[in-house]
Amino acid sequence: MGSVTTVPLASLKRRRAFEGPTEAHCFSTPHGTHALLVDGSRVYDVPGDFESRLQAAAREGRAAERDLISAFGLLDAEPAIGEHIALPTVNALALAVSEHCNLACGYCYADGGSFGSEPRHMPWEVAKAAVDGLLERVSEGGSASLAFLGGEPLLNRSVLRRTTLHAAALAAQRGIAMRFALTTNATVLNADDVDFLAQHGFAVTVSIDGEKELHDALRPTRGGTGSYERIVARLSSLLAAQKRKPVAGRPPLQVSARVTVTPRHTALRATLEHLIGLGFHSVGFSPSLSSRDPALQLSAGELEALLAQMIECAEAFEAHTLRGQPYPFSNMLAMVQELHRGTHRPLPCGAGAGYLGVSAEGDYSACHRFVGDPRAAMGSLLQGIDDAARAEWLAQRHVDTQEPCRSCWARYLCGGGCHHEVLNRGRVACDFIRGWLGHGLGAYVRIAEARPELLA
Amino acid sequence: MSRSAEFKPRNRTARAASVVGNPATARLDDAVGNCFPGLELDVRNLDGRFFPGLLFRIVAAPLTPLPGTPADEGGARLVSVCWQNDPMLPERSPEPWVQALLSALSGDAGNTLSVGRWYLQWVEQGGKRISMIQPNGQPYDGKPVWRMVRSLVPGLPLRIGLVRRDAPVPQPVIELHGYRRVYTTPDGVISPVFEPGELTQSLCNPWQHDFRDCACYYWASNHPDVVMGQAKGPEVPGGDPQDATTALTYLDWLRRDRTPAGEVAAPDVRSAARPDQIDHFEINWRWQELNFVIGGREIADAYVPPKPGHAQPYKDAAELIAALENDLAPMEMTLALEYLYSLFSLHAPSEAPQDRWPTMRDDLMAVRQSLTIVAVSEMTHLRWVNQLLWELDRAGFYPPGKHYTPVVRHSHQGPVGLDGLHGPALRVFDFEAVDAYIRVERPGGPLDTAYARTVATLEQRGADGQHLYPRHLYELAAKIDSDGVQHWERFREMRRTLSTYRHARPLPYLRNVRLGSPKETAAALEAYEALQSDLRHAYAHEAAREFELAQQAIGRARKLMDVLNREAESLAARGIGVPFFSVP
Repeated sequence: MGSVTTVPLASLKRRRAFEGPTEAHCFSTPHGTHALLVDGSRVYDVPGDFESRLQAAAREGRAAERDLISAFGLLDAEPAIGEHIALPTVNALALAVSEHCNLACGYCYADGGSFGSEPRHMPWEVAKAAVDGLLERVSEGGSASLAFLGGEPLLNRSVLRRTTLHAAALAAQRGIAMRFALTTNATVLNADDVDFLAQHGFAVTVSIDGEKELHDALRPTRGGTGSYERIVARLSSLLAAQKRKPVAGRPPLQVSARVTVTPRHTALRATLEHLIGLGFHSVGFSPSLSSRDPALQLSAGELEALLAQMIECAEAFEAHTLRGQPYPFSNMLAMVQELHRGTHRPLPCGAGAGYLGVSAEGDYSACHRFVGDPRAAMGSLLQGIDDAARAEWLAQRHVDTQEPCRSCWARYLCGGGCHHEVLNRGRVACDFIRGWLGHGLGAYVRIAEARPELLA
Repeated sequence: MSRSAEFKPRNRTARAASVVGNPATARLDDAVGNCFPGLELDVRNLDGRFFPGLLFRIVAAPLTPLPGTPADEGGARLVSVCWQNDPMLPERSPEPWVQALLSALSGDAGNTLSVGRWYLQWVEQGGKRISMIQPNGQPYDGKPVWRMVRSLVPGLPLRIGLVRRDAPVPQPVIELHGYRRVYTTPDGVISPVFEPGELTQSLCNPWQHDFRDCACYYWASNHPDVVMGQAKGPEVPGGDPQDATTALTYLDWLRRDRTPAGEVAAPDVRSAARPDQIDHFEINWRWQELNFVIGGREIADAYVPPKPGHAQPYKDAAELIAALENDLAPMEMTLALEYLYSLFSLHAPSEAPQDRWPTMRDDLMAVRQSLTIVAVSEMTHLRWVNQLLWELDRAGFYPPGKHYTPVVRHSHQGPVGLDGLHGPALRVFDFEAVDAYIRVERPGGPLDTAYARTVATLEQRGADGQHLYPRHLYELAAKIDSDGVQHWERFREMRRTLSTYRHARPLPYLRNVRLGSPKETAAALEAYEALQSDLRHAYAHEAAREFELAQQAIGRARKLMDVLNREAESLAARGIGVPFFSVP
């Protein structure tokens, strides 16, 4: 008889599916016991025994949970989220005006800016056609938005500017409210750019990963040198321009920082406060889950550590908020507002729904990350938007059809996770997301109790 | 497991998740829901669905029905047969009783019940049948019927009988079997059989309809019955009309005739007043015509507070304290004792002759009660003056080295400021005494103005515009000050009541009382002295905020007051008056 190798049971049972109640999630604060009712993302104060009754029902199955909730008169006849997702009008486009970049960030979803092919700029004709199509679809009195991405969009600033002016004029003619956005590495920003962006009330997102040493290690130039100094030199005038009085009819310039959080980020709160200190309107963290360089994507263990750091930042946010002091940590700002609104959705974002990406050649994709990716091709400017592809995409991505989402209490808050990350790497961040949302629910209740005026 | 589920919505989607139905305030564990009809829900509406598949309404026959109304309207009337969505009657239920009831209601019985005026005739549970018809053949009215329906319990088989009251030819009673509905789940959620708005379809109407009167009188108890009319013409200080007729005329506050011609004295009893009062439908329209009442007087125009007296404040706190201690507190005690002595001099109502003076029994009851109220009022003033004193001490206004000591004794001279009236005297309640009391208590008279200087003192402000004394002291003094008018009016009323007897000699309503000696009234005087002592202890404790000890002392004093009352009455009935003034 040979030796029998035993494998630890734990490693065999890789619990991908979430176990526990699917129709509600209980949590408590100093103000009592509460629950999120998944249907409709409704937050209630609940009696103390609700959680144990819910757990008991969950052991019997989803129907038993629904019966319990219904017994309290809290289940509507119609679920808030149906099976079918109606196809909305596409009123938001991301233009990859430049599939060319001067930096060499290891985690870039655009593979160095050119999405794996030859770097190119978007010709004016393509941009114009995209804008014309966009504003044709939107009815008078509606709104539309145009985001400039890439690569680094400011490398094609002539098209960027021309497109902006064209869209602004056309929208004004059609009575459509037009919003502009730009995501940039801020390394080639000049004074004219600042004036232009301020004049048209752009929402600017600057990709910046933290203090100098950290940032330079993650976002080097193609020559391998750091980019932090260049950026900071250009930032002051851009950030100062936020204070300028906006042009009539336009929103004020808003400059936010976006941090791609990698395993190298070990002092998140310090990074956050450093960037807040620079003068950004808000600072947000985006965990790197699917990276060109696998060393720069977060592992399960690193996500656990990240959650702890995020919660530390959240606690700082909460403390400042309760004191009435600003702390523009956008992840928390957004979460608290969305929980208050009771945002519930079958998808993580508008990709393929109201939002499409446009490649330099004029091809539509679900969003800016899927430029050139056949998995999410949605037509072209020449042939028009492929509504069938959109409809199929939405039906396939509906969170109630996804695993392990369909049995997760956070599904209508999370929506299933970024499509690009999930399709490339799978769902590794579910515990992180649940942990973050769980913390957010408590923070929401505490803030609502202490500062109700902040939540309209 | 908690019985009361409290789900409170927090965020927008939770709040917006409208549960179409009865409002959150219609929760039975939360609500003040009652059945008259109710402030948040009318509990009686639950019992309309006590039997599955049927909707009843409990009808109370009106007191003044419209012509043509059937005489037998009262009871539990069947409104509709509604078995289709009744959670107690699921179509596929395996329970035999459910299937039997469903087939009855969806078949012949249901059809028959849908035509005509059907009423609950009887209910039967546990072998006991209760009829909704009185022994004299008349149906019970809604309220008793509702009580009987309420007495049914869920869980036991229930049989009901229904009868048609408007059948041209008497029809057989329809009998149905079932169970009484359980109205809420164990978590307190109201059964979905109740439709939105059903529980609140009848509610109290506090500030209009029910203010006139209502079944439990809760709202109506908040309005005045009789009030004095608005003062017109010249007034005495204090704002009361000089003309005694106006001053003393009590008007019906609910009178329909709001013109001056309607300002006649209110009748003595409600049934006499009722025809001339605004009715329910009128109060719904004309509630704005009801007047505010301040100080017992109707105010139709903008209220003008009475002019403040021109009394001179005392020169300082020490003088105020001296006046309160030496004059005012003892004065109150004196008055209380004088009025008590007069009270005991009256015959007890049971002593009224049977063969003459047919109203004397009632008159004695009325006068005794009124006199008691005045005497007690003086005792209350005594306590309030003591309270003024100890509060002045607590607030630091006593001269250094001096502190509050209780004052529970009578005065040795006449009331303050009095001229021409002899000193304290214990009198029987003859007309001389009544007139003396009227004179002494009149508006502007010595008692009325006794506190004027106290009030003026406590109202003073300093050079910086701030009040010199704590406000609550002023308010307390003002309270004592304003009490006086009522005494004057009471004495005048008593005089009027007794005027029936004024020409008879001897006065038939009086006991033949003479002032007794301390020896023959020892028990009474002992009680009086002891209660004086207990009251002093009580006030001293209260001044020191030793409330529990104060309560104990008050308790003892009260018991002694009872003893004194019995002793004094028994002595007076034998013609002996208690010489209160012999005790210092």
